[in-house]
Parts: sequence; C-alpha cells; structure tokens
Amino acid sequence: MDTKIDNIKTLLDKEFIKNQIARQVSLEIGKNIPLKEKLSTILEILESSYGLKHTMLLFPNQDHTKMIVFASHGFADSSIGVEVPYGQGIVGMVAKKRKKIRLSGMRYYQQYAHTASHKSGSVLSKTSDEYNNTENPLPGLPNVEAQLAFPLIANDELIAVLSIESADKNYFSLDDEHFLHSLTQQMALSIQNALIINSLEDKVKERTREIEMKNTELEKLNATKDRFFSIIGHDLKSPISSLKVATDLIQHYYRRGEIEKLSEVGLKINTSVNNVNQLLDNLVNWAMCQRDMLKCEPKNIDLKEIINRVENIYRESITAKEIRIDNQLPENCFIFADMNMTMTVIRNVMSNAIKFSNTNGSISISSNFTDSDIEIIIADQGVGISAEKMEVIFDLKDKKSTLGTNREKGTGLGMILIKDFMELNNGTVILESKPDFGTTVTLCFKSETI
Amino acid sequence: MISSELLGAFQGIFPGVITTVSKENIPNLSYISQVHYIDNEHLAISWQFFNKTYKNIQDNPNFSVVVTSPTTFSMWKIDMNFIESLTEGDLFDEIEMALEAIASMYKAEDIFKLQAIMIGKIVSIEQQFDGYEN
Repeated sequence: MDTKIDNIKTLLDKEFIKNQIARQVSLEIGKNIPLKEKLSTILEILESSYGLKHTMLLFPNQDHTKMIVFASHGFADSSIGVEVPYGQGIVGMVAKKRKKIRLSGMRYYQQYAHTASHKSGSVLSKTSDEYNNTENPLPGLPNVEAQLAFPLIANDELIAVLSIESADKNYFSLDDEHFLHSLTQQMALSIQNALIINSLEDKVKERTREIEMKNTELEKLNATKDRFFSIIGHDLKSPISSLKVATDLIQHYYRRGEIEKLSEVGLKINTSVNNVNQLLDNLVNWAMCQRDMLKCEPKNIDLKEIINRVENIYRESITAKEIRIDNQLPENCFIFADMNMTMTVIRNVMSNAIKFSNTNGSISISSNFTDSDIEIIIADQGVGISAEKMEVIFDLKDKKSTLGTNREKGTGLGMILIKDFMELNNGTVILESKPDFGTTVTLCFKSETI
Repeated sequence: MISSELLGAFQGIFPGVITTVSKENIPNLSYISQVHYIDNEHLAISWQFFNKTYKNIQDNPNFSVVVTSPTTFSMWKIDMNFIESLTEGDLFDEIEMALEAIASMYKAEDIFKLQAIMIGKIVSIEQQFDGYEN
C-alpha cells in the first residue's frame, strides 16, 4: 500500500514539475526581449527544472539546406553559428525528415559500425571522433550516449531543431519524450511569431534606408535643376549683355568716326562669343550626361593635337593676359579615350588655368608614362584654390562659380564635367592647389585598349 | 500486459537476443540492437542484415526475444509469432530515419540500411530474472 502511495506521489511530483516548466517557458517566451536571450534562458530552465544538461537550438538557413546553431547550453564550446547540412547526423536528419529521433547507446552503434565494416571487408572512412575533428565538426558532446532531437514545426514550417544530449546511456524515457515533444510545439509557434516580428522590423529598416537613399537622390536632382535655372538665368545673361554693349559700342564709334577703335571692340566680341560658346557647350554636355544620353566611344587619339586645338581657341585670352604656355608633351602622345569628352576636359582645365592665371603668368603641360596609363599634368602659377573651395569643387550643391583674375565668369560646371568625363573614360583627376602659388591638375588617361 | 518496467527494455539501451529455429530444428541466436514496442500485443524487429534469422523466420514463424531493463536489469523472455514484414509505414520510417542519421555520422550508409521491419505477435512473456530494486 505504502509503495503504491509513494508511486502516486512520485508521479504527481513529476507532473507538478512539468506544469511548472511549461509555465516558466511560456512566461519567458512572452517577454519583450531579444529572441536569442529568451531562448538561452529557456535552455537554462530545461536544465535547472528538468535536468537536461546539454541542449542546443538550431535554426534553418534561408534556403533550408543547413541548420545553424542559434543557442546552446552546457557544452564546452557554444558552437553558435556552426552549420549542419540537412541529412547529416541526428540534427540534420531531424531537419530533413521533420520527425523526432530518440537514440540510446550511441557508442554501441559506433562500435557496431566498426565491427560490421571490418567484417564485410569495407573500411569505414571515419569514426565519430575523427569525424568531429574534421573540417566540418558536428556540434555536440564528444562522449554522447543518448540523444533526443525534435523538429519545431509551426504552420507547416520547420522553425528549429531542439537537440538534447546526454553522456548517460539510460537517460531519456518515453515519458520525457512525450513531455518535451509537446513543450517544443508550444515553443515553435512562439519562435515563429518572434521571427516574423524580427523580419518585419528588418523590413522597416530596409525600407527606411531605401527612402533615405531616394531622398538623397531627389535632393541631388533638385540641386541639378536649381543649377540649370541659375545658369540659364544668370551666367548666360552676362556674356550676352557684353555682346549687347559691344554692338552699342560699334554704333557709337562708327557715328563718331573712330573706326580704329572697332578692332578693340572686335576682341571684346571674340571673348564674349568664346565664353558663350564654351558655356553652351558645357551646358549641353552636362544636360546630356545627366540624362545618360552621352555615348562614350573611346579610341586612340593624339592628346598633343587636342591641346594645340584648345590653345588656339583661347589664343586671344592667352595673348591678352600675356600668359606663356610651356607645352612639354612629346609628339604622338596617344591615349585611349572618347574624342569629344577629352576635348571638353582639356578645354575646361585649360580655360580654368588661363582664367586664374595672373598677367604674365605661365602654364606648363607635362606628361608621365606608366605601363598602361598616361598622366597629363597641367600646372598654373595663378591664384590657387582655398581649402574650403577644394572640399566642394566636385559638388554641384550650393556651388558658386569663382570669378577669374580679369573677372572672367564661369558656371561652376567645368570641374563636375571634368570628373564625370574622366570617370566615363576609366581615368582619374587629381587636383592640388595652394592659394597664391597656383593649381596643378593631373589627368590620368588609359594609354591602350582595356 | 506490458509493465512500465518492461517498457523500458524496449529503448535499445541493452541489446536483445533473438532465437529462431530452422526447418531442420537447428536453433540460431543473434544479438539485435533494439526490440520495438508497437502495442501490448505486438513488437517489431528491424531487419538489416541477419540473413539466417530472416530465413529461419520465413520457414518457422515461432521465435523468441530476450530483453533487459536498463534500470533494474530484469530480464524477460518473450515468445512471439511472426505476422508480416513491412517496408513502409510510420514505425518503418522512424527506425529507418534513426539508422540513416547514425549512418551519416559514421559514413556507413551500407551497414545501417534498413531492409524491413518484422512484426510479431506476443504469445507469452516470462520474467527470467527479477532484477534489483531501483
């Protein structure tokens, strides 16, 4: 009679503990803390209340080919992040088949495998210990004797695998198995919910990032638009006004019979027209570049010839400022780049050098050859660029053009075009400047077909 | 009736022993890793490669198994009658899956290949050794 009462008491105690664990686990799952922390605490509860010393939770990867250790308890090495392919070992097989496994006396199986393989003449490639030490170690106890592994399934989806190991052969009873099975199903649903919330949060973050990027892009487009209007409204107006003044002057001198002064006016007209021409050219190029309408067609072109042509365009300004051009480029200085873009780049670099050179200044043009590159170095001894201006020189936003030494006007588009066109031709531009000492522009072109 | 103590003997912790008899009345003993519990009247044995046992059962359906409790070391002799071989179903899948998992760990797929499970009806259960107090 006493034994019967004792048995019933033991059973009741067991049931009480099970209820307590189920309550503790559901409390823990409901907490608003990170999933990893939550699951680690649950594994601790399984040890303190149910005596499960070695437990591990693994999550499937995105394409469901591997299980990855997410939380572990009671192992010498936490193994967090270790991967187990589907179908490999107990955990891999549980993931693949989505069914529980309970194994006891695992050492027997190993010895059995050894004996059987020697008997049948075949040689086992590896023992479990050797396997554990190889390139893909399965996480777990080295001297495991009993193992229980459950698939955690919610809404027909494999959420995780809970693996419980013991070094004792006789550890997991049928009773343990049934209790843990129902506990894991409760956990599966909660983990799935937590994962959905996590992924929603990630999605929100991702969308916010996307919106921020779009915002930056829109700001850039807006700056482009503002610049466009400012150029048309202001920069284009000045040289045209100069032309108007020049035509008035022609009439004025003609009426007063001062014909000799007309050649002076002619020089002014020439300068104004050159300015308008370059400005319109830059504007069209830049607008086309913005709309991805420019085609880059690189071929072998002679840079020396381009520089000579640019020098001729600015002949009047060079003469007026009495600037000395020291062109040290060798004959047949061939680069591999788009002709029109290179022309725009050189014209802008040269026009800046002239614009910011003082009267009687000098501009040197030299080259430097490497295996596949040609560096063209254009250096002036002009007013230079301040550190603050250098910081924003390739930036379109809030950018203002700087007047030249003879109050020459620009659009501020030149430097942007130089950078964009050099990049389109797989080249680079480096700008070095010291106020009052001058500016050096180094253009690095490709010398041959890539 | 299968007691909870006897139920523990079906967990595969101690290997069991199966005895079969040939047409010529020659007995054969073989160790088996696990005797699987189905219900109070039926047990199952996995057939991997004990050919002699399999052949004897085909010829003579009467056989017996000896199982040991891992907690008390009690031993039972269970006389059985072979009913059928199965190559599918829940129990087959469960045993096959466990064997596959072990095989994948030891790279021994050929050794742990489950051929079939043999279902037997319990004829009688006889306790051979009372065991120790738990």
